[in-house]
Amino acid sequence: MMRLREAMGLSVVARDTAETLGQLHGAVVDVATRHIVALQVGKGHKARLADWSSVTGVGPDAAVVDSGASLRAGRGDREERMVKGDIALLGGRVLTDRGDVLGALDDVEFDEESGEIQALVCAGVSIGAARLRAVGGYAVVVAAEQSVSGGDGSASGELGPA
Amino acid sequence: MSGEVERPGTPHEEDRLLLRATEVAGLPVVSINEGEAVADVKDVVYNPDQGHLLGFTLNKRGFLRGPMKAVLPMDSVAAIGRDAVMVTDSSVCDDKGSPLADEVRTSAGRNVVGNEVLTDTGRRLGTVTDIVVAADRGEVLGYELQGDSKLQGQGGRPLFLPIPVTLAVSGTALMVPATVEPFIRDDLSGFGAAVEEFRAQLSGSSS
Repeated sequence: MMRLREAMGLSVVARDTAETLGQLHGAVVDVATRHIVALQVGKGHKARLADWSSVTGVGPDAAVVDSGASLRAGRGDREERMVKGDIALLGGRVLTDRGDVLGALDDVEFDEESGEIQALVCAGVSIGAARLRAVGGYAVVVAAEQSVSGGDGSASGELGPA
Repeated sequence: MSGEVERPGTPHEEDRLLLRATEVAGLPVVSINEGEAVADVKDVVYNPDQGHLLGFTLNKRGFLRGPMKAVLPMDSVAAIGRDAVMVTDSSVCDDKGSPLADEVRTSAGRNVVGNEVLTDTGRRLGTVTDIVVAADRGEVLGYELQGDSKLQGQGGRPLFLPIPVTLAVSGTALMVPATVEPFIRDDLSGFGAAVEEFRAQLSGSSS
């Protein structure tokens, strides 16, 4: 298990050339599959994305992608807004589907092998990934413990495995 | 909870979130499936004949701030919270033509705020300054009043008046049963329970 905040700022290095491509500045999340599907390298207009399939490893000291050639620009409105920072993951407002703000998103716990998101951390509380509903420009929406949008509350409040 | 008899059937009464209409106005309308704010609440629309909110009129957000033609019927609302009104997705705020949308639009001109409240024994309780809504179902539980001086609590604080599920409205005055007087509160905490007790008394006993 890894925390996204630990990974932020890591050097992103190409495996084929050992060249540093930039710094890790964020992650693109697919809510439906609860996976990190791409890493953001660099920020602003220089930002590029590395699809998770091209990431060979995220370790304590670097994130390694197979080649500098696999970096690409954001595709589609949503990715472009994420790269520009219009859609923020870390630091974004966490709102329940009942309309209550829980706080800012402190961290995202994910499996560094698969990119699967295990939990969100907000106001010191771990929120099971099953409760994630959306990552948008206004808020990261999670199911409330007594949710209106179904889903299971069973993972609620449970601390993720260490 | 000392001395309170537990009434089965309303176990969560104390947990119900009560909001004033003026607190709901200005909240963002956020889509659960997209995490986007699609509008701001301009005002709540309520018909005293029906005892619950009909929906919301909307303002655009951002640079183009201003009233929207589209309205948000209560049917399309997933939840009303302290910080946002939640809808499942942004398309529900495109409702311009449904019968409910028409009803919301035609009701929007009427306003209970400013109306006088009279009891059926002919006593004037005060003037409506706000309405109190149970956030979970959009049910209107009562009114905030600027009460008459005799009724006024400490230092001119507003009063909270439970209302029956439906009540008679003339456009300038609202009629409530005189039996409501013991259930008037000067604080929103405990107001939900007061409303329940008042309504139970209305439907139960024939005093």
